[in-house]
Amino acid sequence: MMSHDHLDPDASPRERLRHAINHAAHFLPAQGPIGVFIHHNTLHAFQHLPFERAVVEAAQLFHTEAFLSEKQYLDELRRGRILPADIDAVLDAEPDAAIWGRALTQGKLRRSMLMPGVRHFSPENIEWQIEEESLLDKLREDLDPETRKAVLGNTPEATATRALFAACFRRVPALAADNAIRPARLRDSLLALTGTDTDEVINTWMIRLCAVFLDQGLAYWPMPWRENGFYHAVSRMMRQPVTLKPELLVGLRRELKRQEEAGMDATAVVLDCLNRFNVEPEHWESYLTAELLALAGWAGLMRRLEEDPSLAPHEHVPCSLMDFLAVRLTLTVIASENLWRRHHLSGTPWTLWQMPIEAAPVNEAQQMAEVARVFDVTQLLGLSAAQVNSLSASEFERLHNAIKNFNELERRRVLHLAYERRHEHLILEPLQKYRQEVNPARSEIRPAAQVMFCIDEREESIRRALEELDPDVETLGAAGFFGVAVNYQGLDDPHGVALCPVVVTPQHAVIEKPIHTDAPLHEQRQSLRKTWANLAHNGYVGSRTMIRGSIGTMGLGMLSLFPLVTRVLAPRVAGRLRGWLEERLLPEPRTELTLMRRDESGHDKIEGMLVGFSVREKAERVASVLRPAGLVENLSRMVVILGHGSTSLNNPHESAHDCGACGGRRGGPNARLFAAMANHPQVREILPELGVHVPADTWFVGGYHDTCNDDVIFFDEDAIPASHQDDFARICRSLDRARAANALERARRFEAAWKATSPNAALVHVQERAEHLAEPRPEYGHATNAVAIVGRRSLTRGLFLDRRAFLISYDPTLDEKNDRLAALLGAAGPVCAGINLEYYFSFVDNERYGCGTKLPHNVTGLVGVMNGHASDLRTGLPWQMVEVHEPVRLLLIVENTPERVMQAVRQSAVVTELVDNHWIRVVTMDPTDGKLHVYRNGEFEQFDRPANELPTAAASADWFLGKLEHLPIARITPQSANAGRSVALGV
Amino acid sequence: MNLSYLLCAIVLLPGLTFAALGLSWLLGWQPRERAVARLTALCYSLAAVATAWLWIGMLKAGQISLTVPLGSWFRVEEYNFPLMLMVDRLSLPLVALSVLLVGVVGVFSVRYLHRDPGFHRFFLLLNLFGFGILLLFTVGSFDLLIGGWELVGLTSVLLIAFFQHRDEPVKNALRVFATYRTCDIGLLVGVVMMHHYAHSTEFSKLFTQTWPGTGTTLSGGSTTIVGFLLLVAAMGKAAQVPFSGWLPRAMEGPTPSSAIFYGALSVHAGAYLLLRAQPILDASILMKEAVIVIGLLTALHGTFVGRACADAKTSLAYASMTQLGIIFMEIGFGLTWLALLHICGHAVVRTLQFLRAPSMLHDFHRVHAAAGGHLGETGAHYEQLLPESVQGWLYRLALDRGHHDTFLDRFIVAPVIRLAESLNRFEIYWLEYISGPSRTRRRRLAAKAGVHRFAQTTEDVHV
Repeated sequence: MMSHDHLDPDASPRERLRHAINHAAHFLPAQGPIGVFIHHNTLHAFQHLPFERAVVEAAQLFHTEAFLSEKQYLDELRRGRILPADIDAVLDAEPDAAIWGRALTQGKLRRSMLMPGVRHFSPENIEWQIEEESLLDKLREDLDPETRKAVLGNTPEATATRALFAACFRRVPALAADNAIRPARLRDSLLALTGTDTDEVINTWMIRLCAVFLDQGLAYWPMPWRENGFYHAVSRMMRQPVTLKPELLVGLRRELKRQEEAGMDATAVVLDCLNRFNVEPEHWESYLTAELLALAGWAGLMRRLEEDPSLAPHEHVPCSLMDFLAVRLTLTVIASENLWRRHHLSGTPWTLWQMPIEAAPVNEAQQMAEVARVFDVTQLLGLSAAQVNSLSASEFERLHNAIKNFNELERRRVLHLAYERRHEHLILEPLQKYRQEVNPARSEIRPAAQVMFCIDEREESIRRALEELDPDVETLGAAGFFGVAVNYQGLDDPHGVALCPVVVTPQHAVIEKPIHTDAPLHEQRQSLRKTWANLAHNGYVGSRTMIRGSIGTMGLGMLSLFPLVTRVLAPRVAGRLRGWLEERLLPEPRTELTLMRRDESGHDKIEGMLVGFSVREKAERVASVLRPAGLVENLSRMVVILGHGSTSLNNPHESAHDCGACGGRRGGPNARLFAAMANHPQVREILPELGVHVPADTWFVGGYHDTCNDDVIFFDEDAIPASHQDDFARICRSLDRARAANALERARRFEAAWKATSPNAALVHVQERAEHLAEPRPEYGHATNAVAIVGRRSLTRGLFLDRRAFLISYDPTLDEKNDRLAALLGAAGPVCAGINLEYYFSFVDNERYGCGTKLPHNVTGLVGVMNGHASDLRTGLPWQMVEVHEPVRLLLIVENTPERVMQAVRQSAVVTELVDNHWIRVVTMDPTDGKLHVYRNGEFEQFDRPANELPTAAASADWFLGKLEHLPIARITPQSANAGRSVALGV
Repeated sequence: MNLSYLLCAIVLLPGLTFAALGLSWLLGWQPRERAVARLTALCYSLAAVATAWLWIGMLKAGQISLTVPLGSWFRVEEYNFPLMLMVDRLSLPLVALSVLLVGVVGVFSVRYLHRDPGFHRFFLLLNLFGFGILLLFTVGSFDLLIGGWELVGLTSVLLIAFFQHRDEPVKNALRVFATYRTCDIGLLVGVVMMHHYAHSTEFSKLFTQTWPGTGTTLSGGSTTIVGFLLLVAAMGKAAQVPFSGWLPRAMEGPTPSSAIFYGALSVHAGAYLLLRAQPILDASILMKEAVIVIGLLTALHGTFVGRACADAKTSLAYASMTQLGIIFMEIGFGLTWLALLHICGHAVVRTLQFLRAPSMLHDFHRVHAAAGGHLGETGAHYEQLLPESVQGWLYRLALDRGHHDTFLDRFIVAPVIRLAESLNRFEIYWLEYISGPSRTRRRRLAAKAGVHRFAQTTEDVHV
C-alpha cells in the first residue's frame, strides 16, 4: 500500500532523501527470503488505483504486459471461452460517441476491430505481408459476403483492394515522430549516446556483492565486515590496494577513498551522487526508482530485510536500501566517467541525463504499417476506395483517431473484461440456479462427523470427495491457522516460528515437548540427529574443499551411485526406503504441547511472548473459529480439524505451496492446538458464554493434509477416548478414500499422469511426484484459483467447483451484528486476493512479473533464485506453477445483502481499497431469497440469469476423468449413481 | 557374440538415436515427448547391457584391450587414415560411466523438461553429446578423437545457450565457445605435429605398450612439443588455470545439462586426454612438472574462489574445478589408476550434487534444524589466521574469481575489439578513398555508432 505521509516543506536534504527512497521502495517486489513464500499482490504499489488503470501504469514503469496478448484472447474467443455477447456487453458499458453521424459509432468500429479483429501489422513484418502474403491483392478472407460486396463493388478483387490501399495511403497523414523520451537515469542517456550499457558491469558487481552480503550460509567464507552494513563492507573491500578492476571501474578505489576521507556515510554518498548528476530534489524519487528497478529483485530483498530483519532465516545482516543505493550510485559515477573518457567526449557526463533522447525519425515501414491498419479497418467497415476518397478531411481524421485510440492495449483491456465477464457468468448462472433448488438452512440431523479444512481452494476437491463418499459427513472451511496465532517451536525445530497470517504478530508461544516417559528416546533421537547433521554438513562442505573433497570423491564417490540411480529411476521406492530408515533409526517420541498457562499475568514470558494460553484465551480462540462458521450447535461426536501444507523435493518454491494463512508455513500444529484447546474441559465450560454450544460428547481431533502427496495424518490419536474410537475409525476410513479420490482429481491436470486412472494409481502418482528429484511441478498449487465463496456450505455442497473456489464457511443467519462477516473478510479477503493477483501477474507476464521457467534457476544465498550464474533475484512465481492458470480477478461471492457486505468491507481499509478499485470482483447473494448483486463502478447491479439446466454427473470422477482443461460447474448427484461408473468409489 | 560388434553398438546407439530424432525433426515431424523418452531410455539401457557384456567378455577372455578396425578413410601411397575403435583398461570404465550417467540424466530430464518448448532440442543435443563422449573414449587415434572432442564442445555450448531468447545465456555460451576454440587449437596442431614426427596418430603406433604402460615412439623435443599442445587442449576442456573463467558461466543451461557436462563427463574429457597421452607426459620431466603446477594452481584457485561463492551452481562449479586440479596433479605424478578412480568417483558425486542443487535450501534448513540451530562455523580456519586487511584483499580477489575474466576482458578481449574497430575504420576510409568522398559520410558513421538519437551532441562526438 502506498503511504501517503507528507513531508515537511523545510525538511533537511537527508530527511527528503529518506522520504524519496521510501516512496521509490514501494515499487520493489515485496518478496522476502524464498524459504517462506508469502503470496501478495505483485502490484501492491498501485493498489490505490483502479485495477484497469493500475495495470497499464505499472506496465509502463516496469516494461511489462498488463493483460494477455491479443492473440491469446482471440483464441479464447474462437474457442468459445469468450462469447461475442460478452464483448458487446463490455463495449455497451463503455461511453460511446459518433464518428460520423449515425452511420458509424465508436462502438461499432470497436466491435469490428475485435470481431473478427484487426490484423496485426508491424514495421518489421509489413514488407513480408505485402510481398509474400499478397496483402494488397486480396481482401481479408473472413469478411461476410455483404461487406465484401460493399468494398469491391463490381471491380475485380485485386484492383479494388489495391485501390483501397492506395486511398488509405493517400489519406493517412505522415506519422509524427514519437516524442523525445526523457531518460530515467544517466545510464539511459549514456546507452543512447555510446551504445555501451553501464549496467552490464555495475549489475555484475552488484549481484555478486549482494549475494555474498545477504548469504545465509551457502558460501563457505562469509563476507568480511558485513556486520557494518552493505556500504561500509563494500567500500572497505573495494578499497583494497593492488587489484585488477574492469575497465569501466578503474578509479573506484580513489572515489571510495575520497568518500571515506570526507567521512561520508551512505546517505551523504547518495546525496553527493545525486548532486553530481544534477538531480533536483523533486526528481529524486523517480531517479532512484529507475536506479532501483535495474536490479529490482536484489533491491527488494534488501528492503524487505531492512524492514523486517527477522525474515532472514539464519544470519541477521544489517540491510539498508540507502547502503545499496550508495554503492550502486558510486559505481555509476565511476563507470560513467570512464565511459565518457573512453569515447573522448568533452565536458562531463553529468548533465546528460536531463537532455531528452530524441526518438528515431519515422521510417517508411512504420508509415506503411499504420496505413495497413487503416486499410484493414476500412475492409472491416465495408468501405470502398471511392468512399474512403470521398470522406471529408474531418471525417477521415475522426475515423483515424478512433482507430488509433483503440490501440492494441485498449483492445486487450476490452477483451480481458469480456474474458472476465464470461467467467462471471459461468460461475454465477449455475450458482443461482442451484440456490433456487436447495434449502440453504443447515440440516437438523446430527452429522456423523464434521471436518474443518482450510479455506484453500485446493481443499475444495477433497471436501467434495469426502461428502460424496460419506454423505453423513459435513465439511467446513476456515482460515488454516484456525484462530491460533502462535509462535510455535516443534520438536525438531531450532527455534519458534510464527504460524499465523503475516499481518498478525503472535502474542503466545507454544513449544512441543516429548512426553515424560519418552524423554530418553528424545535425547537419543536428538543426539543421533546431531551426529547425522554434522556428518551431512561436513560431507557436503567437505566435498567442495580440496583435500577432504579429493579423499571423499576418490574413496566414497562411487557410493553416491546408489542414491543417484535409485532416486532418479525409482523415486518413490527410494523415498519409502528413506522414510523406513528414518523411522527405524530415529523413532519419534510422543509429544505434548506447552499449551496451558495457569496464571493470567504470564510472568513466564519468553521473548516478550506468553507461553501457552489461559483458559479464557483458549475459549475465545475456539469460539472465534466456530462462531463465524455457524458451528455453534449441532456439533457431531467427532470434529476433525485439518491443517495443510506441502512437501516436495528439489523445489526452491516449496513454501509457496504451504498454507497462506499460516504465513507460508505448514498448518499442522495449528490444527493440533485448536483441537487440544477445544477438548479442554474448562474451555468447554466457558464456550456457552461465548455463544457456542458444544455437546459433552463431542471430541476434536487435529490433523494435517499434505496437498502434494495427499497424505492425511492425525495428532494425539492416543488421547481419543475409547468411546470415540469407532467414530474416529469411521472418519479415518472416509478420509482415506477421499484423499485417493482427491489425488485422482488432481492427476487429471498432470499430463505425465496419463496412467493414473484409478484413485489408487493416482495416489501412487502424486506420492511419486512429491519424492521426484526432477519434478518441477510437484503440485499445481493455487493455479486456476478464481472464486471465493463466503457462505453456508449448502450453497455449494454437491457442486463441482473444479478446485477453483476458496470456500469460507459463514452463516449469515447467526451474524446479527455483522461483525463476524467483517472479521472474515478482513482476514480472508487480502489473503485470497494476494494469491489470486500474484497468479494473475505471474501468468500474464511470467518473465517479468513471475520468475520465468524453473529450469535454469540457481539457489543463491539460501534467500532466492537467480537464472544461471548471475542474474537479478527472480521474484514471483515460476512458469511451471502457473501454466494452467486462468488470469481473472477473484470473484468474491458473499452470502449477505449488499448493504451489510459493504458495511463489513468498510471495516477494513485494505479490503475497501481492493473492492473499490476492483482488484476483486464482489457479488452478494441474499441469504433469504438468493438474489445476486454484482458490484460494478460503485453500485450493485442485480444479476438474474439462472442457468436453465445444470449439467449433472453421478460422481465427480465421471465429470473430470480424462479431461485436462478447466471444467464448468456441474452438479454431482450420487442418488442417480448407476453402478457402472463409480471410479471414485473404487478405493 | 563378437565383442567388436558390441563396441560398435555402444557408440552407435546414441548416434542413431540422435539421427532418428534429428531426421524426424528435419522432416517436420515432432515425436511426442513420451516417444522421445522411451527411445532414449531404450538406447541407454541397450548400451548399458552391451557395455556390461563387453566388459565381462573381455574379462573372461583375459583381454586387456580390444581394437576394432573399421577400414580407412583414405589412402595416399604409403599413408593412410585408419578408422578404428579401441577400448582398454582406461576407456572401458569411462565408457561404462558415460552410458550410466547419460542414461540417468536422460531419465531425469524427461521429467525435468516435461512441457518445455525446448524438450526435443534438449534430447537431440543430449544424444549427440552421448555419441560424442563415447566416440571420444573409444576411438583408437588422436585424429578421430578430435571428432568426439568437438561434438562434446559443440553440444556443451549449444546447451549453455539453451534459453536462447535471453541475452545472458547466449553471451556466456559464446564466451565458452571462444575459450574452447582457442584451446582446441592445441589438439589440432598437436595432431598435425604427431603426423609430422611419428607419421601416425594411432595409439597403437604412438605408444609401445597398452595403457597404463609407458613408452612412446616420439622422442626428444618432439615429445615435449606434442605434450604441451595436448596439455593446452586438456586445460581448456577441464577448466584449468588460466582457462577456468568459463566454468561458472556454463551454468546458464538447464540443471541436468550442467550436471552431465560440468559435474560429470565433459570436464573430465581433458583429464582423459592427458591420461591417454600418459606415455608422452612420462617422457618429459618438464611436461610432468607443468601438469602438476597447473593442477595445483587450479586446485588452489578453485577452492579459494569457491569459498566466496554464494550460489549453489557456481560453488559446485568451483568445487568441480578444484577436484579437476587434483586429478591433473595425480596425472602429473604418474598416479594413473588413482586418477581414473578419482574421475569416476568425482563424476558420480558431482552429478548427484548438481541434480540436487535446487534442494540446497531444503537440505540446509534440515541440517541446520537437526544440528539444533548451530552449525559449525565455516571459513574459520585459514581465513581467520590472517590479518584482517589481508583477508579483505583475499576476499576481494576471490569475489572477482581471481581476476580471471577481468584480465581477459581488459588485456585480451578489449585490445582485440579495438583492433577490429580500427580495421573497420580503415576499411571505411579505404573504400571512400577508392570510391570518392561522400557527403553523408559523417552521418553514416554517426548512424553506425547509434548516435543519431542524440541531436544535440552529435557534433561533439568524435567517432
